[in-house]
Amino acid sequence: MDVIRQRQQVDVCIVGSGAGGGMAAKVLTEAGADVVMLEAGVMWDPVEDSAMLAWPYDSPRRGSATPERQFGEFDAGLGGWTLEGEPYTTADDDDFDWFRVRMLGGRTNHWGRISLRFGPDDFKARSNDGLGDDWPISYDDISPYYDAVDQLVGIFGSREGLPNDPDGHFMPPPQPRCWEQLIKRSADDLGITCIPSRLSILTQPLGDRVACHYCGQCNRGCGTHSNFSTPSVLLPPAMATGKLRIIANAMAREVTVDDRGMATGVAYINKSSGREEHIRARVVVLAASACESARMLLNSKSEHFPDGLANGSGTVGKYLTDTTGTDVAGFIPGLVDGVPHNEDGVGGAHLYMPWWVDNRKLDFPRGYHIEIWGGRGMPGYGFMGGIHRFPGGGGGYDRDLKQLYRAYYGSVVGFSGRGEMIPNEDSFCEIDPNVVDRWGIPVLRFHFKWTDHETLQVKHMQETFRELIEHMGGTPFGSMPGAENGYGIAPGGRIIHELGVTRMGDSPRSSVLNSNCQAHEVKNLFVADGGPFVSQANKNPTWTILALAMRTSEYIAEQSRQGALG
Amino acid sequence: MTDLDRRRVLGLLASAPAALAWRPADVLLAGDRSRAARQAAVAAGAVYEPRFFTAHEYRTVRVLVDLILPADERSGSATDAGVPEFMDFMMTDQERQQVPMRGGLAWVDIECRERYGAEFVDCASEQQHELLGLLAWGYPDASDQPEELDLAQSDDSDDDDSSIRPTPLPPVSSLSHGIAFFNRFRDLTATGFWTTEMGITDLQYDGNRFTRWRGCPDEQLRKRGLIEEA
Repeated sequence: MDVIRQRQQVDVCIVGSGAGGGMAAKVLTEAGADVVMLEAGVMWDPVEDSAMLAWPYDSPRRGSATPERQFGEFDAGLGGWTLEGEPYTTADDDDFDWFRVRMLGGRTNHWGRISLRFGPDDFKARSNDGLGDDWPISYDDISPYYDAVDQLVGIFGSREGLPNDPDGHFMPPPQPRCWEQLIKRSADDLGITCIPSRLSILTQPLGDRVACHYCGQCNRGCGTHSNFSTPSVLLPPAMATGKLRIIANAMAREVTVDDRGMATGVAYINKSSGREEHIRARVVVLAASACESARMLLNSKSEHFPDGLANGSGTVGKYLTDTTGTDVAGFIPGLVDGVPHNEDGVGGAHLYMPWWVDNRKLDFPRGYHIEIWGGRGMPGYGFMGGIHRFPGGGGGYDRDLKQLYRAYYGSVVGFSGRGEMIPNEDSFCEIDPNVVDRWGIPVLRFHFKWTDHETLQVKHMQETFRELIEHMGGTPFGSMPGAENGYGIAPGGRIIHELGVTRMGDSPRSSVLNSNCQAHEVKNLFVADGGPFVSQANKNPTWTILALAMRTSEYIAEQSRQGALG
Repeated sequence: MTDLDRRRVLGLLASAPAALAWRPADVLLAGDRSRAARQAAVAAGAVYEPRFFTAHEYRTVRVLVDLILPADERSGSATDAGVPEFMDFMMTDQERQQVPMRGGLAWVDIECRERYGAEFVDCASEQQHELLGLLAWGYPDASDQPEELDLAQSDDSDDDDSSIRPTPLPPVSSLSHGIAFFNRFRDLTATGFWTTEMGITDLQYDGNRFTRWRGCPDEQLRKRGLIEEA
């Protein structure tokens, strides 16, 4: 195959345009570096391409899923659990679903903007309970970067002084909706901490970005740049430096190395032409998503690195975790026949529940936070589906049924637990020896097992959510799943928080990266996505990906200035 | 980067709002686009030829959806809202729905032939009501799940909402297949009706627009006992 080799060498090649790649591009271009960013998907512009303010009847499918947009046709995220021409495999008996998007901004286009800092205990969890590993950095090392991310990106929240849920530089949070206040009243009665959400959505103007207009559709992509996505927040300043070149439809395949074992650039498939091309770079930053970056390293074999690049420890692909999750919804008679009003609010809940229990009283380690949902949202595909399952007589037909839909609209609330998985040796990804994707690139094979640590935690979620619903005077839909079903734990990958497959550590024997997310074995190679995480914590990872990527990028800039990267 | 891609990235920069306000022209444009789409749909409906349903199936669908959601004092019927056209589109868009739909309609006709000696559309009104009375309350077994449950529009989440398992009721053996079909059909009817402009107006949904959220209105808070009666 012809390979087009660029003669010109750039300072940095970044693989991926999501949270980590976008932050690296911003920091490094502003530090003066010439940067090329490879994106495997298409260009995407939240102003031109968003379905914000579309009505369900604007489309004949009323917002339902398509193979290209598996969270619904109005969702920004172009991708899903399967991608045409890009398979992955799972080991026998293991369930793992891998969510990928292929677009500028990556998965920052599809998320709930839940922007939680990890706390001091999260970085030193092994010291507390003997499980997993401590990070090689502490909360104090990363907190200045969390501060900077807060101020750069914008976040709302409330100052609570909770020891392991540190406060940030918050804009004022939106007032809770009615149904959220009812949930809080029950949570207060049951001793469950319930506080304003911490979402990266602007409630005040920030720079040239306007405040939220409360259409509740963050997931469609914000046409006013009022929430966080890489194309809205991080790429415009990077482009403004004139030093960023974005190459879309570029499927990165391999990090190339020279005979000293230093990275020399990235080989990629130009998906438009089908030809392989190559970017020469002094520094390579992988931010392709945790598992995709691990896949690239494992596929980058050479004389120096026969088991894959930077894999002397054999830990590339190991320590794969996802967030634990389960959901319970209930019918709340006290919410029937609501007073019609617009409660769209921001695109997400205005309240949430951080972890609140002392583990010494429990039969599982670590914890979870609770996300809540409900309300009189815009009708969409699946609207009030399963009306026959409403307690106290659902279903029917005719005029009574029509009246039932009106009365029950807004009478359902739901709870989603999102908790911490402990890394285990049965959960990892590797290269499938037999399968390649449509470009001939070997694909990942996943191994994934939950342990009692996770299923007992999910049992606690189920019990708690049912108690909350019943305390609200409601009835949960369905009975509690049993132990044989893992108490309703979602399959691995389904919460879309894969982390840890290129983890950081002090020892090159047990980790891929050092505490600056620099490969132990290749000093001009860095990872800036969820791969470096040593533990999950019970917090959504994006804010930590952003803070780590900022810290790593500042380190790259400083080391480059000193000539220390090659 | 191609020139086209570069232009789009530059456009992305340029489109960041310079003033701290949404441009009204953009709102008007969005409204125009959706109105045009609606008018096109109405125009298409006037001469609608089903692409999935046979003529007989389509007649059955039109009768069924109006029995489920008839016109009343607040809004029109399911056929007024274009539910049959919507269903026909969904069958072509999501092939996995085709066999359950086709087979379910066939089950209804078999049952009617056995009970009343005629196919559903040819049965007397009281016979049609009698059959629906047997199918419309309860559900046959735990595997009968709505396709895409969306009880509360939790689509803002970055996480997957795994489906919610109902408590199984004792199966009604001789009618279980009909009940399973009817539950799916009623769900699809509801989506088709309530997601139209007619349905959304009926529900008094007041969002999907620019606003300033200042908290829940007092009238609602009083109704829920969250503030004292005045």
